[in-house]
Amino acid sequence: MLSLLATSDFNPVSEFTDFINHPYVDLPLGLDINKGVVYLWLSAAVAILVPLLIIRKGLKAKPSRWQTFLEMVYDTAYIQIAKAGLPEEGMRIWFPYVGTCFIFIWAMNVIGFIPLPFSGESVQLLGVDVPKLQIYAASANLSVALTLTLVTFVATHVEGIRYNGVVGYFKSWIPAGLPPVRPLRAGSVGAAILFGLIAVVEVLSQFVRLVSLSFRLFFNMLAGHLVIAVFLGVGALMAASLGNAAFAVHIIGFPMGVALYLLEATLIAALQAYIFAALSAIYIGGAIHPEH
Amino acid sequence: MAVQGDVNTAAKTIVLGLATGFGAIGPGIGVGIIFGKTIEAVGRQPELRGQLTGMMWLGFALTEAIVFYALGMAFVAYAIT
Repeated sequence: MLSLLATSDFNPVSEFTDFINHPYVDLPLGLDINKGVVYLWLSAAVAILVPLLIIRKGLKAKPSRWQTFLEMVYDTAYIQIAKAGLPEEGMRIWFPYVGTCFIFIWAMNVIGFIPLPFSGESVQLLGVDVPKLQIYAASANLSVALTLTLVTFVATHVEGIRYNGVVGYFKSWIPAGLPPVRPLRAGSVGAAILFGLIAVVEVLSQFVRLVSLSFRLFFNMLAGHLVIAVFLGVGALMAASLGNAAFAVHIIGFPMGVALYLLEATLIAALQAYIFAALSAIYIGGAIHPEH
Repeated sequence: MAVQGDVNTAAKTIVLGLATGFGAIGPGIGVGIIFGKTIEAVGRQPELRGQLTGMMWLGFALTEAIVFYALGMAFVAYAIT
């Protein structure tokens, strides 16, 4: 996304959509292997191999720095994410899921801030073709975020029905304390209208979760990358209308870009992974134990 | 400086910026309240710090996401008009 040598025809948004048109391997049914897929594989490999390598190096009673880090991640996933949201009987199946979500999304977000040579463009440097470095996150892509959200969404309702039965589960959507609907009694029309309204709101809120969970991850990463791109490339953006004198704004833009980069790569990348996993745990736990 | 380009795009771009900016006001206040109240709560009961920070980040993310709804809707408005 961030070309090292900026040109004046620099369009931040197109960097997130162009890759669809340039797949590495063309496959039918839209199953192309493109940049996003490569980034997904890369993050899956990192999410699996880094913890595995740390564990294979041997765990000791007096932990090394890496072991301490891994234990901290596990603690966060177990106590702060899973324990806070899931009831005891759901832990066995869904703690691995939310823990995986946490580590995988975190890996995806962090890899998104490491400059890698996947841009497909190159520059001539001392007569050698050097690929341009860029930052691009697989999670800055609605299809990735929405797929992960759909897993949580389906899991929520399947678990809700499995633990409470179909009738019991959908009954639990209606909050307790509503006046009962009894046909042919005084006040039953008002109660029926209230029931209908609340039922509509509750069903809608289930679908709003789908939007909010996926949009939060997607737009956080997209906006983070765009803001970095705009601040680092602000001179190039303004040069289109102001001429080369606009590159002077780099004096302000560049430090701002670096500061935002550090904020996004350390805090936001981990926080979004944490939030996604924690909300998944809360949604699934809430379906297993409605009053929980 | 001479003005170039068409007015339609300029208006859409201004609206994109305004919509996102106005959409950021409310969540900005909300995030401030969340952090402030958590600091207050930790000041009163420092032993609950662990639980409170977990809840704080959750509230922070839920509030912050509202900016992105504004941004998303602004993008949609930009794209379809």
